Amino acid sequence: MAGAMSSFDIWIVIAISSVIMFLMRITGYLIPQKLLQGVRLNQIITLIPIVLLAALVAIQTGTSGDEITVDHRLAGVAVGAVTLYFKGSFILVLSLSGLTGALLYNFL
Amino acid sequence: MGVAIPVGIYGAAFGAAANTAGLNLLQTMALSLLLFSGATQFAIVGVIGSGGAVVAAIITGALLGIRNGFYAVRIAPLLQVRGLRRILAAHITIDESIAVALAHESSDGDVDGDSATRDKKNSDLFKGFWFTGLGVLFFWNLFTFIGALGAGLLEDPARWGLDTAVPAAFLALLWPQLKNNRLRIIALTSLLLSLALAPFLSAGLPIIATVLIAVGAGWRVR
Repeated sequence: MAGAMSSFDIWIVIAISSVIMFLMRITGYLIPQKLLQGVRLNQIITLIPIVLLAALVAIQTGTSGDEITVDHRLAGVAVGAVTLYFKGSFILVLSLSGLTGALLYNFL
Repeated sequence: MGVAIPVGIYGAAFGAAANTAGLNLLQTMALSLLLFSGATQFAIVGVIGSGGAVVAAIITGALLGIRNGFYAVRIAPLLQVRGLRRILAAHITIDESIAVALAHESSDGDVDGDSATRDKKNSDLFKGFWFTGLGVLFFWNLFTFIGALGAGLLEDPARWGLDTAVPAAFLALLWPQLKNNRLRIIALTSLLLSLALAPFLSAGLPIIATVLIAVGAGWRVR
């Protein structure tokens, strides 16, 4: 393939990406907590994992690449949501949604 | 361990994807061990496999990984780690460890209560973070190895319902954090915004963009 990376290029990508990832992570731990103590900032930081995880669920369930897709995953995650609504355990949610997804994927 | 195993098995799909994209075993394992962030790893080997440029692979990976930085800001004051353990904590700051830790934080609704309850909650949060993070690190690498060696059986996670179980697991971890209608509306808005942006923005950005919702909703001092 035309623009294929050499093995050396791939190592460069791995090294630089790993360093960037570590720096992004450690920065969060090194920011002095005094800087983060404002009420407003605190409210925002508390909400961040909630919005990110909600978006993650949406993207993993309803997209393939950059397309919106309705498939076995949506059905399975919907079953999981119903199970959660009725206070089903974590393992029950995982099993029922996984089973629904797998059945629809393999037999439909 | 509830999350670590299904997510870890997904590592086999990554191993297979990396293999197909032309990475050798050592390169594949280096990504799972040193970079250790599922979505980012898939994106990087995706770019490599499609003949993309070095810079494109790095930028795409960083866009998907930046949310780990946001997670770190949120979890750091709760974990209170120092020294070398801080480096390890940073390395295992991923969707899974944060989701489990915060699900424990909010398990019983209100924040107050006697100090015994609070201590219990803190230790659950602590255990949730470390067990999940290290558990995913272990299983993700184990299955990356198996997948990279060409375990055809695990190559297609959808056959085993894993592509459905993983988002369902995140939903289950998010659920206890949605303690009131305000938080439910915020989560729902984020869900809709990310889907609305997905066709127009490159991978990673539709998720990160929802930080704007957190900023908007958290702005008014309550």
